[in-house]
Amino acid sequence: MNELIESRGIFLDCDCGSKEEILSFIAGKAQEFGITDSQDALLQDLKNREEEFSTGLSEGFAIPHARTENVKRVNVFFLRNRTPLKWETLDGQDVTCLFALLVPEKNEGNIHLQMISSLATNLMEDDFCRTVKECQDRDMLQSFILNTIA
Amino acid sequence: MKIVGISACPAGLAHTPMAAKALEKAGKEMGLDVKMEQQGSMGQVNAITPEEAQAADFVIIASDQKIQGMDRFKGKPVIRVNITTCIKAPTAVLTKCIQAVKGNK
Repeated sequence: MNELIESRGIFLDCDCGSKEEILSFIAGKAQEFGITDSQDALLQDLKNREEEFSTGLSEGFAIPHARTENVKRVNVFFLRNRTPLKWETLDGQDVTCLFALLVPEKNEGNIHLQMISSLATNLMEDDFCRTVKECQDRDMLQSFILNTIA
Repeated sequence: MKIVGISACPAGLAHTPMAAKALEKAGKEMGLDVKMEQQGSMGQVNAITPEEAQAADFVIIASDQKIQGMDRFKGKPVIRVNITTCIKAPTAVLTKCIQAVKGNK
């Protein structure tokens, strides 16, 4: 089974200037990692979902996501941006930490969906948010997140 | 007070479980019996039975999506709330809903 979150899918030093730019970065990496065959279509899916209502949360977090036929396997990226990005959020804060949730339209099993659900509810816990905001090591972060949501 | 509800969002991945957990947690803190069904990417999670539906004082629908099985709640006050408001301010949502239901009795 593929890891839901891979070490290479953790980006601790993004330097994007806008929401659009970081969504485009996510789609580009998804193509590079073989998660999508069309980064343009995936980017559009991510943008369409943002238009339904924003995926901004509180404390600088956002969870852009797409559940679409343009995603070949379920995968989650974690990204930290150097500067806060303008984003419509629950508390009005701009966004520096993102979990990008990439899910195929048809899913083979529920294990990964269960983990994504657990990730989402953990984002309401202060301790979890603090750790993912501050941890500087990608491998440690990967195992911390996977262990927490398993 | 017994409250049941359903959360649902466009992709059914994240906001659905977040809203359900937020309302259940806030309910517990307020001494209320809150059970939330999730209609998301995994189908129905934590389903509300017809008995639970009929025992409830009112129903919260945390969604602007189409909800499955609304017939369970026949005769019950149903309140629709924006799903992000439920995540952001679950205590205020429950308080306002209770006020609204009491006011109509």
